[in-house]
Amino acid sequence: MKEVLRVVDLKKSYHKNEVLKGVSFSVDEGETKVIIGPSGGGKSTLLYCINMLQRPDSGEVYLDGEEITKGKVRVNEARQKIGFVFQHFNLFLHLNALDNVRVGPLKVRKMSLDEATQTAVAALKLVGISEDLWSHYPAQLSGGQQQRIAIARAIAMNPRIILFDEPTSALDVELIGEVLKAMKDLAYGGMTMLVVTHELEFAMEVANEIMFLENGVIIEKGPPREVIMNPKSERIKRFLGRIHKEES
Amino acid sequence: MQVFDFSIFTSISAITFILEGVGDTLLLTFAAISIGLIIGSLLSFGEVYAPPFFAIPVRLIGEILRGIPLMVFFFLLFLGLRLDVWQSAIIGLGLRSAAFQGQILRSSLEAVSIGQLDAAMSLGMTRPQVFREILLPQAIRIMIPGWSNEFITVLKDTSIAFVLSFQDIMTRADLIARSIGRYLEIYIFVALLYFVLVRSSTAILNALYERNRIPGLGEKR
Amino acid sequence: MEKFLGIFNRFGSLLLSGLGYTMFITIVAIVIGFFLGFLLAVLKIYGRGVLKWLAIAYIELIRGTPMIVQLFIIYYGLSQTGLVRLTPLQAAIIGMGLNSAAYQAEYFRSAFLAIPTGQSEAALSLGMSRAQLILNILLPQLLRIVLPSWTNELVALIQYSSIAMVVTIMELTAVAKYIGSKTFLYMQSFIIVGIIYLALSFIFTRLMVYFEHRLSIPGISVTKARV
Repeated sequence: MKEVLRVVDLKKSYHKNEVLKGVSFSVDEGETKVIIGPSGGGKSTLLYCINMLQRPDSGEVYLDGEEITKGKVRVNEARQKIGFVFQHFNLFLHLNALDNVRVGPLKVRKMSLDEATQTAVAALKLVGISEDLWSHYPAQLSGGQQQRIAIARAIAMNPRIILFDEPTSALDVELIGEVLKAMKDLAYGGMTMLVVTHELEFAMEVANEIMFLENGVIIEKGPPREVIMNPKSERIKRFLGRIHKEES
Repeated sequence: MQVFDFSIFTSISAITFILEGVGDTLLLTFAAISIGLIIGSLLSFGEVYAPPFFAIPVRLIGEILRGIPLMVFFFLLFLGLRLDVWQSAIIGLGLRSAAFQGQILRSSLEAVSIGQLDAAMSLGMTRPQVFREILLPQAIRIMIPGWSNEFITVLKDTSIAFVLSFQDIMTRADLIARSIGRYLEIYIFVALLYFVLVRSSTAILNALYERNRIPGLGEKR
Repeated sequence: MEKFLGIFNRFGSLLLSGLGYTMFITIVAIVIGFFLGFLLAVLKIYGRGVLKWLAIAYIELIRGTPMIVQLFIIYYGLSQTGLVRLTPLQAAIIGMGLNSAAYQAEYFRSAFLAIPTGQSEAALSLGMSRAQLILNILLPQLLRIVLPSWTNELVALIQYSSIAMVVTIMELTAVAKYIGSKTFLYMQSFIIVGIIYLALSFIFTRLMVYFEHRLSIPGISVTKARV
């Protein structure tokens, strides 16, 4: 399998607080990898460092074999190939659903209006946003709809990989399902994905590998069944126990 | 002597003399607002984006412009710097409005969530693109209600140019009132005239607001 | 610099009395505006029929016309009728107080609306009367919410008090103009009063921020102030 993303010894501190203490892993084409771990363990920071929304202190990130952490590389061009789905959706409030998805292809990829519209429409259909919602503004949509549109916005850029930062944790329970379904469809469709989430069922179903990140390091990784059903370290057991308790 | 004698308004020339000032009142308002918008934008961008050694003096200038009475400004320009009436009126009102408009624009820029800027950059937008496509269109909508207030304030404050003998409706009303010795009727008339101007402007600005309104952005109150 | 010192030497006491007028007018006007403004806000929210509409009409008319015109109506207009004769100081204080009332009424109104209605329902369910509700429950919260707007209003009034010079009061700006006419040092004298105004704004803003902190209660939100 072709490697899409490789992260090597990534480190990041805020003031004196070391959030990432050297994280390394890779994601192959078509794979879905899931990162779990307690909050404050550095999961979000890791994602933000991969697409340079925050600059890592040291370490390297390679996209399709090309290092993007080097000073010379145009960060904007690398970001075009890395989709990002945020915990709080972050849809553009002054644009309706269609324009939110269309703005990337139109302004960044410099497509024609027709081409950008087709791309956006295809992405919106993929995440199940029906035509009657296209002219709605973010404030007029439910959280689940907003997050699916945010996913479509990432898809429309035709990225090499999409990073998901706890995409369902800001949602009401009854809205989580529709977002997870869109993500599963995407994974089965062959998209390469790196997902930070607490949704273990989702991880069991679609992840090729689960990584447990705590205190800035990956403590354990492996196939989901092994990590979740039969974890080696005590800490993961405790963490999983807490999640199960919350769910029930 | 009668308390009210509105028969003076049968003399058309008194009314037309005052009404002829409407043009200058509005011209002064628009000129001051425009200058204020241009300089205010520069001030706010300076405060938000410039490095501290630039941002701090810019903030200080804003504080000074907001902390000194308009009338003092007028006299500084007119008697101190010996500018003419029009220059003093436009520059005085314009600079002061720049400080307020700058403040309104700055808080509007800061009201756009960081998350949206992250999202725009995650699509690969350059900084100028983020500014043009995301930040500015939202900030403008967020600022419209506050900006409308400022417009009305400037419109009313043009009356203070009376101390420069600027030939607006206020000065003209005062001239007429003194010449015919009827103050109450003339000043009530000019008050109503201002009221009509203010309410018409409010109506137009509200229509502008409603036309460009997007749910969830810059809601009134 | 010498010129500035010269002005202070010759006109120091005049500047001081100008400062006195400016402060006196501002403070009395804001107090008048406070009580009348509160009454207007209560009438606009809770009033019925004529009273409610009178309050609304008053607020809109005052906010829709320039202060200088209002002052002229009160000073020159009223004296023309022969019914009331106000001294310039009375006219300035009343005019500015009536003006400020309309603005303060709007601050109070939005502060009233910022208090969750559940609290009113809870107070009424305890058997409180409407007056008790306003005095015991709403007012203490209201005053805290309205404080930042009030700071803005105070700073605005300090500046607008310069308009009192058109009814011949020798407040700061009028004093500066007088000094200028005597010495032809217009630039210097207006810079001096400009700095005094700035200092006043600064001191009052700090003072109000101090009160805000002293009186703050966690959870009572503060409205964004804007004149």
